[in-house]
Amino acid sequence: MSGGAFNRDERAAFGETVARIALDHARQGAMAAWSKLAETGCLALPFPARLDGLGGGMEEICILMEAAGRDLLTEPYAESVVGAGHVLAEADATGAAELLSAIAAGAAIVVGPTFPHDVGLEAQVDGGALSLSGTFGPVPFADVAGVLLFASDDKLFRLDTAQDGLTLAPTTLIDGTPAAVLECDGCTATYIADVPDRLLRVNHHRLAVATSAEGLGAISALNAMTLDYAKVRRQFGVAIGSFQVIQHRLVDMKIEEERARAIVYAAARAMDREMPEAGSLASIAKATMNGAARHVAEMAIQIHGGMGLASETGVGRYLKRLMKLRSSYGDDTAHLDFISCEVRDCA
Amino acid sequence: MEGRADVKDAHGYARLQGALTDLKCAEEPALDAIRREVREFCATQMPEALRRKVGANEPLTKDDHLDWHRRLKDAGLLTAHWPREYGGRGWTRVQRWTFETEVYRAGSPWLVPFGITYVAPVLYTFGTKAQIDRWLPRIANCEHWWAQGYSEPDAGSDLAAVATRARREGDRYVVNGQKTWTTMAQWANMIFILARTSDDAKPQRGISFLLVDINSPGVSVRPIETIDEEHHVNEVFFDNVEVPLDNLIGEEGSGWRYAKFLLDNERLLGAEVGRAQRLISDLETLLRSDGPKTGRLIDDPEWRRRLASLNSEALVLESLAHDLLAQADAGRDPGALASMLKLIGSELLRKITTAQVDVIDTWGLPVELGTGARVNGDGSAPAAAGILRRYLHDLAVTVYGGSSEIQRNIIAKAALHL
Repeated sequence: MSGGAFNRDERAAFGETVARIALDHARQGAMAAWSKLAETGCLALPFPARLDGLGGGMEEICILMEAAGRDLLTEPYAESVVGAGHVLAEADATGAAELLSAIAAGAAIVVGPTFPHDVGLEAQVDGGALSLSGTFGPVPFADVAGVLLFASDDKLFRLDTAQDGLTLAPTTLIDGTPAAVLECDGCTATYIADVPDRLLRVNHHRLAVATSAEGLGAISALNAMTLDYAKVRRQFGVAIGSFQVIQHRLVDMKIEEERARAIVYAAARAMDREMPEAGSLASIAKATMNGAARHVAEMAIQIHGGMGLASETGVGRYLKRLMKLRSSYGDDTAHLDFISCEVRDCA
Repeated sequence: MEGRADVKDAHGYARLQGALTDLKCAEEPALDAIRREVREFCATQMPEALRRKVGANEPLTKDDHLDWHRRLKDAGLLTAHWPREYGGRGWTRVQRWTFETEVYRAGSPWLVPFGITYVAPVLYTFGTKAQIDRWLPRIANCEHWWAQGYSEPDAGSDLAAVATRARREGDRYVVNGQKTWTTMAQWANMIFILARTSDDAKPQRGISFLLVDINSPGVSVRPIETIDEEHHVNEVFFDNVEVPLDNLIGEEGSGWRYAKFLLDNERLLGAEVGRAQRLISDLETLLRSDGPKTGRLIDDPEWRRRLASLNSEALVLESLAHDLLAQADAGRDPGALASMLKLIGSELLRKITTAQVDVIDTWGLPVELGTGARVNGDGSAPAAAGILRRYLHDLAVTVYGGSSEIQRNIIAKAALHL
């Protein structure tokens, strides 16, 4: 599959649409924009036309995720649409068509796929089903998700959350994202389709890039807030933005944003073209965003001074979102190790 | 045996380094044609001795430079960024930059820019037809070697403080003053200078842009040895030097405008990704070699990540450079974009040369510039002395062309409106 079903004008119009949705639902808490995203077709964005999707690629996904990050939307878009939805669409699972339609309509929220052993779950394939035991989580959006996907031995399984032997303990992550800890006591996930390992690796990169785009949006919002603040906050009789040391810090923050923007969209377009180096570029994008996120968020607090530490200004909310995004889908070390591994410098 | 195969495949990052160019070429077929042409040219036309000298960072002679420039000229590549009417191909900035990235990746020496990319665009943008006819062909055919007379002892970052004077006397200017840090002036026939022609109003207003024959009576060039113990830069003294009025570019007193135009062009090409990637490849070769006392440093996860990180930074810069140069080609004011590229590019080069020195430190090699001991058997990696010379030389990259601090000042003003 290749992206690029959107031409330049369509992409610009799409950008305006999602920016408007994000602004209208800014900072209103979890799931506030979900029905609007469904209504406008955004939840069907990456799916091919034969599945009633819009055929958008990673570039369009990044436009949406950047807007979501800028206005701190809290929606399971990456999880359900970019990740699970894409895997279901590509795995050619006849039994999953209904689930996919439900995702595109916003009626179902699906999280995963996860490898049970990666998260400490005991898993046993039992005929056409996967039996799971143990504690898993907190899993973002697991409390609202009806279905969790698992992958094992090149097979894809669905775990319906309403079943005996499964309890969900709701919690929230540091940035306010709803989540839940799963307690599985021999709960059952049913077989949907075969899933090639390559698809799961690409899925991880898609999520890394989408997350980077969300982080980019948050970084750009923080830069705008901090720049505005430096222009109005007066000390010693002048705006603090007139001090050279503050100016140079703001320049470095802006450069971090521009670097992240350039590589996030380059990685997205490389993925849409299925270039052989797309995975490495995705890792570079995530590592770059991670670095920018920490630098910009901490410096935004520093330049806001005491006000940056008060919950009411909102700087801290962006910091916390960026903390979550940094830890999602690979930290710097994991991505640098992936890049090394791609040139056969594996540990 | 596995280790051996790894050494043979010495440049694991070579493919990844080209990934961004692959993407841009897939998106813009015109770039792909340029890339193919340049690769073919370098593969067939770059003398092996020159490639080796550049790789080892041995000093080049004037003839080394001239020979390479003439080969590029004969292939129509040296001045392809000039407009068609002046013998160029009308390349955009993105196209010129793609060309530079490719030649440097292939191991090209520095393309001495003072004639072909600095003064030539000033000439064909602001010069008279007579001036263009007189000077441009001599730049194109490498007959003239130009030097840049900007900095002075009391005008470094504060370039508008230039004190060199050009006094008008009948049909000529009489120039008095001193320029400094003048790169390769020892080989130059011509020098373009900023000189003060009046003292009124703000300092920028009284500056004019003059072309001076460096062999004129009263011009003297004195070498400055730099910390790498080489002769790159000079002081140039002007003692009642007579310059014809015809050598004034544009209007008298408007020289600052042309100077800034030139500096923006200089800085737009300041993100030397190709050179950065070649230096990273040199680092990679060192890391894959057996050290004198240690094993291969590539087997250390910290070094692997540092190498991955430097390669990542180069690709991020390449991506950003393409995006920003495309904006400049589309008509956006290049000032802040140029400063960003110069700032990021120069700081990346510093990180790479520092990493190379760290290898020498880890290996415990003697820190000396003289002997040039090879650090590996096949001569593919630059000698230790070359690495040290390059490190010392490249401490200049965050200073020349406007220091990093000045670039941040410019960006704060132009992009952040502070």
